Amino acid sequence: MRDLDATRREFLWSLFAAAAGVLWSGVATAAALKAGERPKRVTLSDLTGAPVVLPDAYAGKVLAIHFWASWCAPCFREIDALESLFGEYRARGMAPVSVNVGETPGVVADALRNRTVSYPILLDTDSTTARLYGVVGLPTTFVLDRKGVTAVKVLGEIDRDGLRRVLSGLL
Amino acid sequence: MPGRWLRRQGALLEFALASLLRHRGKTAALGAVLTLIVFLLASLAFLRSSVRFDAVALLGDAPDLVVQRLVAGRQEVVPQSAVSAVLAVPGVARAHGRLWGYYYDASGGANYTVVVPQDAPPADGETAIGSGVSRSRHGYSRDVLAFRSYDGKAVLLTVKAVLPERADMIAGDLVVVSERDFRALFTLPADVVNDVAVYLAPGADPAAVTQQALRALPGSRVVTRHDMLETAASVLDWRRGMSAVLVFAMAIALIIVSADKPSALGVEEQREIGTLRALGWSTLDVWIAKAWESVAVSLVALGVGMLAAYVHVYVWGAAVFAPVLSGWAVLAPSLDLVPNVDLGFLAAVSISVIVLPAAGTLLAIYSAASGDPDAVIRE
Repeated sequence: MRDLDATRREFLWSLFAAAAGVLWSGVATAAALKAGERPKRVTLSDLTGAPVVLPDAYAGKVLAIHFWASWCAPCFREIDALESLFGEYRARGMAPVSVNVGETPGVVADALRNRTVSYPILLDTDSTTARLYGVVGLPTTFVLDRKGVTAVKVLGEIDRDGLRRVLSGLL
Repeated sequence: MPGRWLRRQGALLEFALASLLRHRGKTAALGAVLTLIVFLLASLAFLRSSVRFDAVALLGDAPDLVVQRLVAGRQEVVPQSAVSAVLAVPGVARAHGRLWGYYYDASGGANYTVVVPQDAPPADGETAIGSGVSRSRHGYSRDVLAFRSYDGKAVLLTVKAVLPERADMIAGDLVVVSERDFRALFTLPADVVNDVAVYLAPGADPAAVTQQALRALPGSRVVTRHDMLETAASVLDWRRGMSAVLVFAMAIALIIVSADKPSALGVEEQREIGTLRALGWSTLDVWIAKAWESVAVSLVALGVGMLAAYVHVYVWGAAVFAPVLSGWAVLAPSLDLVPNVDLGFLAAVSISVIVLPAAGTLLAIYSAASGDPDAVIRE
């Protein structure tokens, strides 16, 4: 009889917890990185496996953190634009990184085989960093000022001229 | 005489409450089922009447008529000259061309409604976005929406404001832009608009103005405010169908709970009724005491169920129904509703929850209360 009561209590508590979970999921909202905020420190690895700490590794620079994936065609146009602007603004302290979301190193290397990318490509294999930044569509680009504060978040594909306009105000 | 009757009812009620306490498990189970039924039906009633109230209130500012041009049955852009043609129609107080369109944001996987407001449009390169757009893209003030125009050029819009949640029902998917950005995004020439909004002079007959506008602009169609309200209502229609299914299911559940009572009369309860009859209670007394039991459970279920439904809909944004109502929509509006109560429906729910179980109870105890007490106790 005691076992039956315990089972019944457990069942009721599970039911209550499930109902509370459903209700909480309705009221809770995910936090996203906003302009004016500092991103949390994350450690990602580049294509060689070396760890890179964002944003600390680029302290004092204007940092463009570009989230992308191999299935996203506009993302490649942005990579080309970033590469071009990197050549142009490197000496003035501009640093881009492209963070691949949710793909393996093999897929990423394959996707970039015919491209010249001289700046770091980072791997967010389990999408943790994308979630932390509140990325909900690709491409998404965060531009941090020299103090490491998010100056602009670009939602969608931005072209070279648009990127130049955003960066020139910070360099 | 009335005092004696009242004392008698009081005594019967006291007995009924004591009896409910004696059968705690059965009372709690019945109360829980009734509370759940009340909660679901009342939530639905609150939700329906508030959504309808919001839709009517928000469409109150819509123009009296909208003139659109059709080509092969599809809406086409209208030349700016149509505005002056409509203004010349007697009974028209004001008319202006509107710019609006739909933009599919591939990176967000959602369709936005892009509009240029008549009053106080944003500056070039700036935008105000609906709260649905903000939620779906995690876009806030100072962020940049990067769109591609129909001719492949980038159109960058810096978010200056997010529209309030209260307007979410009709403005959740809005991207408000300047005329220059609108025309650049959709590569729309400067001499055309999407349609013409018309405001009538007081006392003007919409039907007469419609006829004259159609004569002035052959090949057009005129949409009245009534048509817009009807369209909004029909958009809610499939949801109304779901509501009907839920109401039907709950009604069946209530009938089953009520009808189950005759078969669910336990041996202990039968003995109790037999004992009461043996002690000299009349059949009517037994009936009244048992009816009080049923009414007491129903009243508690009504109170708790209604309160829970109110909190569910107006504090928690109808969290239980929201995923079903949103369906596949990426920009589903948040259900931040103004309380509005459909008293008729709630009265029907209340009466059903009190009367049906009470009727079931009376039917259940009929044979036990009217039979031979000795036989009932020995059964």
